Amino acid sequence: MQHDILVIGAGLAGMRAAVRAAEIPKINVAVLSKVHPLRSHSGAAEGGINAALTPEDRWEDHAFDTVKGSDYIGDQDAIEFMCEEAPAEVYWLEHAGTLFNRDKAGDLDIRAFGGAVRPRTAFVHDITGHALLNTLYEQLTARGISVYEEWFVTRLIVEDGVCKGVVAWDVINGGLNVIQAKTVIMATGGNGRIYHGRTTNAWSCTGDGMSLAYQAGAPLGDMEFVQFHPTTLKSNGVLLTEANRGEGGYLRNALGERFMANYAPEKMELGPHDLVSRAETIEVLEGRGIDGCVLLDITHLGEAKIMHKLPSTRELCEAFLGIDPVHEPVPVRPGQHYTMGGIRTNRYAETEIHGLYAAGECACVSVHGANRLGANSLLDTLIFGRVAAERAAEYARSTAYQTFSDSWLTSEEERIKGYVGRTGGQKLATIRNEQGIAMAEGMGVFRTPERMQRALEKIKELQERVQQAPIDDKGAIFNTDLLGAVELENMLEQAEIICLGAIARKESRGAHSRLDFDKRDDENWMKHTLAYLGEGGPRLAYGPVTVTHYQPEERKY
Amino acid sequence: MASIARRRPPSVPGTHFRPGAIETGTVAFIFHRITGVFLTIYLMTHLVVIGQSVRSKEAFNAALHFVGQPVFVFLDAGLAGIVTYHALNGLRIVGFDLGWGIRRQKLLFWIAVVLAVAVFLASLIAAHELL
Amino acid sequence: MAQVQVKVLRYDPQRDAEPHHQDFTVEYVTATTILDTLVAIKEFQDGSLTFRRSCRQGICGSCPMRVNDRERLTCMTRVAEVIGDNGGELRIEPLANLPVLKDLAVDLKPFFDKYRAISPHIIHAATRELPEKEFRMSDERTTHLQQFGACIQCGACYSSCPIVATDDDYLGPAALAKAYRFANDPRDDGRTERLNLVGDEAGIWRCHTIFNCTEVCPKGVEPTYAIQQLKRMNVRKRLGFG
Repeated sequence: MQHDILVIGAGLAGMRAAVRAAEIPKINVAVLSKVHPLRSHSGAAEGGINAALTPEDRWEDHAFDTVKGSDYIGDQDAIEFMCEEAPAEVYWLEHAGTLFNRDKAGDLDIRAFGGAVRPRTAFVHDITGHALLNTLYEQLTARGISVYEEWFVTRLIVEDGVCKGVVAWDVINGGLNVIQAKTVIMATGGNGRIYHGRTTNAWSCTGDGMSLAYQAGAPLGDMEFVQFHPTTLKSNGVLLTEANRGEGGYLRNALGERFMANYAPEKMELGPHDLVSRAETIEVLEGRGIDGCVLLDITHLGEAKIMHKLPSTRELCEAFLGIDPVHEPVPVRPGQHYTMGGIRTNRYAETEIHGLYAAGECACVSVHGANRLGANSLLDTLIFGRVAAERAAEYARSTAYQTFSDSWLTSEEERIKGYVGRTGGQKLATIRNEQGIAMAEGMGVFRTPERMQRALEKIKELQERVQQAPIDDKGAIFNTDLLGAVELENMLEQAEIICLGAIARKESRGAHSRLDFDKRDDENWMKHTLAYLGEGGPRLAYGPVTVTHYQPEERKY
Repeated sequence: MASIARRRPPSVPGTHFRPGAIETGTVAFIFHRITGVFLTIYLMTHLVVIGQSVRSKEAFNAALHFVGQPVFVFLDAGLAGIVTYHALNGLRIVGFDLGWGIRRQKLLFWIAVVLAVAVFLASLIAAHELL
Repeated sequence: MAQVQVKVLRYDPQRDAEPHHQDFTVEYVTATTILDTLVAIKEFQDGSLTFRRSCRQGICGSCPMRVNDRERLTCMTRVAEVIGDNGGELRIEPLANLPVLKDLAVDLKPFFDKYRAISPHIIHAATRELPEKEFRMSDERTTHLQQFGACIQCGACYSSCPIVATDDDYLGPAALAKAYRFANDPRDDGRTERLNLVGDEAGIWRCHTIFNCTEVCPKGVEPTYAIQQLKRMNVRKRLGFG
């Protein structure tokens, strides 16, 4: 099996890359995904996609909002590129059949979203991610692009700084295989399951691509910047979209006050995610919460509007809380939602490894810096998925397939077989739960040096303990027990990097908020954290932020 | 790892009509099929009975006498009900094909059932002195 | 905490000739979903129990199964909803009409083959000029189509359909609903081609309006409605009314 371009991950970024690659003559592209493409977590995105579409808007304003939202460590060349390309990308989606909501005139309806100076979010009521995922899959199908469905990459084959292919596990049939590839585009999404139940993320979001790139020598950037979304359900972490607030919903504390007036007087509930999450956490800590939550109130929007623009919010509240948000406010709290960090790339989706590219949530371009604006992620995945394909195709055309030793396959087979023989320790689920608790306590919205250190120590302890976690399923076919163990080790690796980055960064910026260094420190810390695989653990380094037009200012909303 | 030889995986056995979870639409379909079969049998029987008239006056009278027995009155009432159900459900289905009534399918089914039962009972009552 | 007896249909292709039921006991509360019970079994009782799941919020389509004979999206169905106040049995089996790979995971390839068979993508005629910005499309038309676009391709409808059970070629409710979604999209030029594709023996005419698909669809897609509309559109086209 060999391909010019092998895309790992079939969410929005992966499929966008594959669709673009398939348009390029003489390029052979394939996609590999551990879940069927339509099961990718891109489908759970709800609120919308940003672009400067209206006559009164300009992409430069979108770019500034994004830079400010990133708390000034987003790379401005990439941000400007993304915002300038955004409208064309939205029209591409619409031409491909996406059922965007319309206004009375029949044009794309636009809603307000957090951190934006004016409304610029196109949407498909509150299932925008699902709609876009389907559009991309339709395009993938139309072009007959082949997919290695339910395959899992266990190792990137990189020699002398050159990516040559992958070792991949056919999970359903069993067995490891080698796939030769001139280029690999990593599009494996986020790692929210490190927080276990305290995340909006699906079970599949275990950040495997980040681990693969890291193990191969590419640095992971800004891993300590973990986004907490303000409106998630306490019982299971499920997301209630920001669009609830974009359509006019309020956040209230136990006293019924719209407390955001004290934190973001101008934008109120439409401040950026990090700011609102901090506000909610403070309200609860100071005793104005209800059972650890605040209230999302959309009762004043009326049933008609909710059914037209927020129907799945209603469905989720009824299913999981037995509450009808048309009539009653809903208790919500911050939950892990997105990782701004990831495989470090430049604005062409290139990593430090030749032939290895990354796009989407698993990448750190960085367009989101220390905090991502809502509705910018759907945009990010599509823009940089496309760019990655274009760059990869260029590189693939100028290079030949590289050979490598059989030992890659045999050593992986040994390594994976080693998992199945583990015995004597606690169950994988216990370790997974403890990881989640440690991260929620130590790497949450507000961080202290003691709690961060405790989290780091617990993670390292779990890295030891997981080596004895037994695997019940000894079979070769569709062994999801074994898959869970491999994913857990990947998560523990990333969790350690998150902790180290957070402990080292002695400032508060964007989503990284610490009580001992509670101000932004541009003089010392306006830089990206880079984590490389070193001897005996991660080695931290730092890299510059690309500034084009915007100098850091005070970030007020 | 070498690939593992497998038998063709089985499907869950044909619980086509999911005995534990039958819904209105399935019942309507099954009734339509059953009433259809009965109507076909009736039609054949009816042709045989009426066809006796081709043989002779006596043969025809004997046939009519046979089907004049009380049990046939009961069966005829049943037939009226069956025809009513099959016709009304048939109209229900034709409505669907024309895009009408799809979102009221359960109501329409129950109307067909109620009217069929009503016709059956009315026929019994009307013919009660023949029983 | 209450307890529920869970009967799960197991099948290990490397060991079993036929699927067979296995019993487990699981604790549950009001909010516990069917998927939660499967996870609890896998995590703490038998790690070899195999099933698909991802989003746990009813949008990815990974987890539909037959629960007490009825297709349900297990992440959005609560145990209490199914077993009622009497605390009956909870029986979990994989989707029907598809080959079982292992335990509760089925092979969806036949399902997606039929999805692909109806050309599930916007087709632009060579003569169609793409506007610089968006196509204009009415709010009403968009809202109407969004209902059919809401399909998460979970396969519950396909499993519930007795026609699918008896005819391997029948395209099935999900593929046909998708065909309707495109046939009514003003931006699509493939209407005639699609109506022809679905208008043959293995398409819309096999539907006997049994409505199982509409009953079990977790997203309210109403495939039966879509199929009847396709019948109407097909007849009109053949009679020349367009």
